[in-house]
Amino acid sequence: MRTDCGTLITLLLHFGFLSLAAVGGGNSAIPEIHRQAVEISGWMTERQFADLFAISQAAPGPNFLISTLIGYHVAGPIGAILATVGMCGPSSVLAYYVSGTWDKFKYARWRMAVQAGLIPVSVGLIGATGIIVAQAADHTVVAYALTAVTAVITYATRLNPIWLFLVGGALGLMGLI
Amino acid sequence: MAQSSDPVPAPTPTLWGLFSSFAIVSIFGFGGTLAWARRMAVDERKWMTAAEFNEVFALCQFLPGPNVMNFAVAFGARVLGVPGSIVAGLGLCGPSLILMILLGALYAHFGDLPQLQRFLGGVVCAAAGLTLGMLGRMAQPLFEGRQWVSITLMVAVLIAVGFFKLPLWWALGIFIPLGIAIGWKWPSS
Repeated sequence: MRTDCGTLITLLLHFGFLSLAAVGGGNSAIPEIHRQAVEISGWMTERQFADLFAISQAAPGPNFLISTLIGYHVAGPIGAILATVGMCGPSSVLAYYVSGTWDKFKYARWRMAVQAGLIPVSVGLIGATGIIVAQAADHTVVAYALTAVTAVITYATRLNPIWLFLVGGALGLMGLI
Repeated sequence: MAQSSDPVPAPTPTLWGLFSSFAIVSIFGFGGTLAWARRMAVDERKWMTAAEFNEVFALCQFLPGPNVMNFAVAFGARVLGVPGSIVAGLGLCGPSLILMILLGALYAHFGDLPQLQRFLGGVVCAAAGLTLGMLGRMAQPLFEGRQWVSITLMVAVLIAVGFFKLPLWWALGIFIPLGIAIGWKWPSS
């Protein structure tokens, strides 16, 4: 585990940038987190990234906490804290200031245009997240089937996802995936 | 101050109340923390009305970054200013941060155990499916509104980033101006 200053600064800056680039919500940042962690910095393998994504989704708490897990994996508890501060800090400061002036431009045409324009981009990024994780996770027919069935159930019902995770985990334990 | 019979003047939370409420949301918020935050603030504590929630929610979606964190900060600011923002944000992040550090440590020690590998291997297939199901839900209004231009943009982002691994800088630089231009031309979309 490398914990030199350069790595810590990279973590903080990387997640700090993502905090402001995650249009529409934290999950929009996952493709870029994957690119940085697996492809650019080589912080972890594809498999480890998929594992950390699974843990962050299945554990209670906001989903953006995958950044905490990645920070921990890279540089221990200090890395975890820095990654979390990076992911939450800049956007929170922005949210504080904008929430005070929101009323002034709530009905402005440019505001509606920006909001409407960000929707397809953020939905596309969520889709990219699903594809990247599926590429990392699905290597067997059963795995693809489980992903497909989970997608349909999520789309069509309000079932608490924890049950889907448990069924997936059980199938995995039985060696079916 | 005389109490009005009108339920609209919401009770003002204390700093501790804010912290503990968001901490509870973060600890119990399986699968979509924002829905739990709404239930807490609107239904249980009655700190805001459903309409007020929708207004703050629109702001949280408009702004970059984690939506639920934006909600904690904006809501905290609304009721108790800067201290409210900080306390709500810490309540949301603090307990989960500790939990994640524990899980991260467990993974570091036991991540190579074959049983855990198999278990997580199954969970991640479900997590991928969950994300793709969310994609379906989020894309549905675009299809219902027959917003073909927006749908084309969405698919382009999905392919460029998901399959061709386009860096986020590039994706945002290319697709956000296009999106805003579309939004300007068809503001209702």
